[in-house]
Amino acid sequence: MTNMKKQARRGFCFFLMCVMLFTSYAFLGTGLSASAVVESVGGSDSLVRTSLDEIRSVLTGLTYGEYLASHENTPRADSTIDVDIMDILMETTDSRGNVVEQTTATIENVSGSDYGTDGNILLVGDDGKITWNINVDKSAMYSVVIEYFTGDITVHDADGNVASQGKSSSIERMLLIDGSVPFREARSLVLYKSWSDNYLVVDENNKAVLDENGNKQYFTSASEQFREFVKEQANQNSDSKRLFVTDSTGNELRPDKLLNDSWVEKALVDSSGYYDEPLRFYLEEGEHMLTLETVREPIAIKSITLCSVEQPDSYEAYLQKHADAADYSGSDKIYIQAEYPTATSDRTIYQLNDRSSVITMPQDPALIKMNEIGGEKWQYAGQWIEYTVTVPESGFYMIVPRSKQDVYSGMYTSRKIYINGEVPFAEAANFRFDYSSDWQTNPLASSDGQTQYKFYLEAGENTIRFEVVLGDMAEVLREVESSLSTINEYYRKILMLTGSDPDEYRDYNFQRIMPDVLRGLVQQAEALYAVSDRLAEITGAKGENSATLDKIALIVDYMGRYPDTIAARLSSLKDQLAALGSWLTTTQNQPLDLDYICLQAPGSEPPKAEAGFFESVWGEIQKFIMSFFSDYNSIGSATEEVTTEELEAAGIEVWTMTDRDRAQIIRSLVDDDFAERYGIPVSVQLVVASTLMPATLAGTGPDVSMGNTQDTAINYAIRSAVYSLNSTAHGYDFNDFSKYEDNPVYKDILDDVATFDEVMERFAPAASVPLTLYGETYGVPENMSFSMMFYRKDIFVELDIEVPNTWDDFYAIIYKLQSNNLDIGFPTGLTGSTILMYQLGETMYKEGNYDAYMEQYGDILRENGQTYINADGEEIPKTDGMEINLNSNTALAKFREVCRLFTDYSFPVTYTFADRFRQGTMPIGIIDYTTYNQLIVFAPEIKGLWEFTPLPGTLNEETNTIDNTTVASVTCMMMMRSVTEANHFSAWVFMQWWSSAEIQSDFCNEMVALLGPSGKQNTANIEALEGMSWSKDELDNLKAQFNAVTCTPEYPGGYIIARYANFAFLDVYNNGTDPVETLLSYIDSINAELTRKRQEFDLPTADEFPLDTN
Amino acid sequence: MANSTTAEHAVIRRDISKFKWTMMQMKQHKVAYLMIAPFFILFFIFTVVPVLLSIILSFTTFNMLEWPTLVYADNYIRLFLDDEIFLIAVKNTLMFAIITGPASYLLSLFFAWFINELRPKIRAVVTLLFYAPSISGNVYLIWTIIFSSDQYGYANALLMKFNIIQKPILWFQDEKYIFTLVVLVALWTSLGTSFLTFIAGFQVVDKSLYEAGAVDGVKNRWQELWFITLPTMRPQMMLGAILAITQSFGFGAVITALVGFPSPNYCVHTIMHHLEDYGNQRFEMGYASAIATILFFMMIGSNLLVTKILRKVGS
Repeated sequence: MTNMKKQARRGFCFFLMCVMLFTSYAFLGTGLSASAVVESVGGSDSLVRTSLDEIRSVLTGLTYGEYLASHENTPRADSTIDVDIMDILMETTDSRGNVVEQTTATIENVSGSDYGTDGNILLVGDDGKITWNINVDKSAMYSVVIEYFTGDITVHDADGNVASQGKSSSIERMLLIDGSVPFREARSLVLYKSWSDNYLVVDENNKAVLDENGNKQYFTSASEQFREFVKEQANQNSDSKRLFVTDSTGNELRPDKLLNDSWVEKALVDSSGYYDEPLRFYLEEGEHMLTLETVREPIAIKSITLCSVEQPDSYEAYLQKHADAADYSGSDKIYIQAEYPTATSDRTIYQLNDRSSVITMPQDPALIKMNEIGGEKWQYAGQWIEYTVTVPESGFYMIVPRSKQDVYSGMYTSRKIYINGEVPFAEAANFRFDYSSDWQTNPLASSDGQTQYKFYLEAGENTIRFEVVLGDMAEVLREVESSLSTINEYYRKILMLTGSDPDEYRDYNFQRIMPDVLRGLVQQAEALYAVSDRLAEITGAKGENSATLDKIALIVDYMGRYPDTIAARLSSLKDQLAALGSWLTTTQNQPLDLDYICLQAPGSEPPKAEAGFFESVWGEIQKFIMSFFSDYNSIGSATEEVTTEELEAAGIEVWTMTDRDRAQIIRSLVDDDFAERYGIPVSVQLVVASTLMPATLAGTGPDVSMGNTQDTAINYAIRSAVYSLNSTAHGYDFNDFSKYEDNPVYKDILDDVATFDEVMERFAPAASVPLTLYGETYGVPENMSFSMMFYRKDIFVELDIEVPNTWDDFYAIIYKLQSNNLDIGFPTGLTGSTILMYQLGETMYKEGNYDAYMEQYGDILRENGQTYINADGEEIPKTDGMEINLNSNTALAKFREVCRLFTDYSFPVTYTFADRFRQGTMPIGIIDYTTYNQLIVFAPEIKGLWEFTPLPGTLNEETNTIDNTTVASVTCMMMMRSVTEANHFSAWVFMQWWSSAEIQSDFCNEMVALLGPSGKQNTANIEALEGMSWSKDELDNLKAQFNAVTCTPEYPGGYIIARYANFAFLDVYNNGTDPVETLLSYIDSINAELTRKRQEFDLPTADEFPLDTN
Repeated sequence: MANSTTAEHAVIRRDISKFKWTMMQMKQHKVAYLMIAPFFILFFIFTVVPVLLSIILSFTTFNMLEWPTLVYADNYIRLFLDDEIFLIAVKNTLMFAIITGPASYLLSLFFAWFINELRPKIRAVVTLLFYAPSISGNVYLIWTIIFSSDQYGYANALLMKFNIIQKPILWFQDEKYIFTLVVLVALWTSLGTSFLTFIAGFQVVDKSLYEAGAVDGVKNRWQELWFITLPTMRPQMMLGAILAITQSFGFGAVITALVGFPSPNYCVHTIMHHLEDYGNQRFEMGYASAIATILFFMMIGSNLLVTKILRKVGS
């Protein structure tokens, strides 16, 4: 009886709780949807904030594996459907009668003849989606085959303006059927372009051979000339002739890459490589909509076909098919040097230098030879390298690559082989390359090593393509990834109940609240154990890799079985999840180095894999001896010798403080572009930042210094170590080049040099603010970084919250996030409050009020030389920056507001954003936008689930606009006082050249080519930013924020502000003091320091010139 | 033979000036001077000259990029009368030196003494264990991981788990904890060279002295230590003491690595930091030189003091 009562009461309580929860949700929902739609200032009307509905349509938890399982009984298509690509569905009407746009991308219908094909083709821009109607006769599983263009394309809109232009990344699309993404993998479908090397024609002396017009000549690796060369080299394994251009010291330089113009037919596959076969989509009989939505890059489409893709036969069938063919009988081996690929899938796959083995061909004890390819540049599933080989006779050949995989011990990497565009037999879809610290020359063979395969090649030219695949690991990896995301989801659910530091002694009642999670945990543990066993079976041993899986399986298992221990195990689960995440990321990588590929008669002895002992020792001794003679530090130059005395005097020295990679790219841009364009000798030197000061002091400093922080310019300038760029005091005027019209060095190049005013137009207007003091600008901005808002789409949908547009919205979601124990990343103290201040138009220093100063003290100021004439010819006193403005009402209010976020709202002060963002425990954060680089490589499992947008803004109620200004910092280039009368103009030519859109975007693209997608540069040049491989949405958001960016000015003594403001914030946070009082207590110290510094430089101070407030 | 020649040409010290006497002595020992010359030239150029230059610069204002101007004793006047932060720095430096200097010295001494009692093989291992923190360079950064301000840092996570704290403590950013933590780290890393010297010192003590001591009535180990061991290894102790002092004065870099620069509210701001602040951040080299000069004399002073104290050992 009592039991019954108890249960009834419990049930009632539970019911009540549900009601309460539900009503609060409903209430919150209405509250949010009521928020007004407002226009925002600063050009952010182009703001891309994906709405929840849009996000929902692409979010699907379903993996392809599950999708296939649910359509197990559906047959593969036996018919082919050709999509009429010209029949584009522009819009539809939904059930409520609203018009829904189905095609938003710019589309251009052009004749194929311009693109080397027949018929008409469709150019689709990277600014939206495109939808076709398709009619399916028979319900079946269809693969989608697209015929697309691998070259460069430009899409024009109806008015003939350029709407989107191809960049250097691969094409990426999302596929939607009837308006929704069928499974997770369809969110990112990658179509690779095709890149070939562009070789310079040089004579024996390494000088470019010019054509009759005096231009350099090039030939690509797709050309006849290149294939001839490779054919010539095939029978010898020495290095008589090389194609690579060398620098002045004899080191080989890698060639540029160009896009290949060709049409390829490609079935859509899973871009992560988890599924080897082309993806199959279930289409029911009837009408359907097929949508391709842009992720990256425009595309040119010739045809789309829905069909089923034939799978290659087995090796036995392959042998039978060529039963009448004989083995290659020659004893000569045919070599293809791996550094001479015909084409590659990415710009980033390029020639490398290997010094680990003395018989890597070719090898030099001192010089850098481009003697291999691949490595970490060639490790993501789908990337390929293609070679052309000419064989003397038709028949069977054995393929022996000299390869090395020395990165993942205990594991192996895999490659798929295509001969003439097709996988010859099923087994060729997965060749294993085991870990080894030495080079290997194993013939391509089955994974147990028993069968050495032979390949049938026709006499003449054949292509061999090596494509990165995950091989046997695919299955393991996809299981682990699906487990990882499921466990992550469980982790978040538990976290939302318990918080990040759960009480071990409390009964959270997991059994009743989330029984499904507990069951799920046990299931995941079983799945992980199974995967771990499978992994051990594949790799042949139980090693550290399966241990990683076992560890997390154990924890998950215990958590599922003994819910009481969940609280205690939660933090170790978090660590293990992070470990598993990085394991997954690294194991997906499939690096492989190739030295050469050898074709030889089946059964014959493969070439020697490694040098013998004495050979190696001799090689090492040579290298050791040569190390005394070669200078590894100088960044070699290919510039010709200086011819005239004037030219020598005009030469400049440039110092850069970045890393070697960057310096190398700067060097090559100087050689290739600057030298050719201007002919002024430039020597680029890589130095450490701390050398600039002593070198300037000793008078041995550079003429131009690059990559300085923003405070350096003013700090050096007030001590007259840096020259102003817009003054005429030093005998030059960079706005008027008439002086140089007769100069023998400069007279021919003047048309190609931008003036100071033109250069400053290239950046956001705010970028020059920190580099300018009282009308004099001391630097040219290079990079600019600022905070943007990163958020996790999936979690926002899960919690049903909208992305905040204003700070009011932001405050509204804090509650919802925190009640689910999720954190928010926010810049602390003054960094945060400066953003809020500037959004309200409040400045950091006291500025302006010039008239009052001039009226009251005009004569004295003028007499002291403490005024300057601005660009408009007005006389302005140098009174800005005398006092700090942090004691204004707004500044204090905003400082308090930010402090409260950390004290009252308990925002974390210290955190690793990338980690927390990836786990989802910090689904929103305001952080520097270059974090993008980290997330894109570090967290592939949340690809497409996050976005960065401009900051929330402050709503101006009068104008009903949102000001979402962010505060940026810049790095700059400076002209040092070492310049002379003869070369100051050269310095300017260099600075304006480097900051130009063309060179900046070349530099950025080179960096991306070198480092991959994580190498994006935060250039300050707006036009150059557009030239980088951002996706359309990313770029729109970036530009929106770029238009609403501001910088704090730099004044003498400015370093003291951040210091004292930080003291104030820490005092508030640690000791709970009042923010306003604390900040106010530091104002006097700050002002005193500003005054002291100003006295040092004879600038007017607040003590000397107090302004009557009445 | 050499002696007799000297005797023939013997000049009496009183007959000639001091300078002449020195020159003569130098000529006589020219080989020795020649051998010491390479070191001395380098030492003079790179140590003595800079110190002298710095003392001269301390009477000027010099921003590194422009020529210095003489301001006489202005820098010193400002330093002592108008710079509160310098006084904080002096206080911190002295407190730091007084706590870590002797503590690390005594710790080194006692650990060395205990370890010396172990069997040789174990002794080698234990020595390595104690010495490891100071050979492995920046290993003290491990403390920033343990006392990370992140809620997932070891100390924070542990304390939050036991419900001792509710929100993460910013260990190295909170005035309440910084000094203690920094001293802790200082002691942990301080078992360096002086510790090794002590171990070596303990081994060279003549065993027969202990026997003699026992005969003369030494009653316990403490007396043995005080009356025999320590006096015998006075040179090593001297070296250890100088090392400890310089270390405790020059601990600024470690503090910066742990706490950042400058420390919150200057709570562990030492003279080294003040020097760095004015030299590197504000480009006021004249003022920084004045600070350096004072630090220089403080170190000399404390060295003299320590030498005096050490003379008292064993008496």
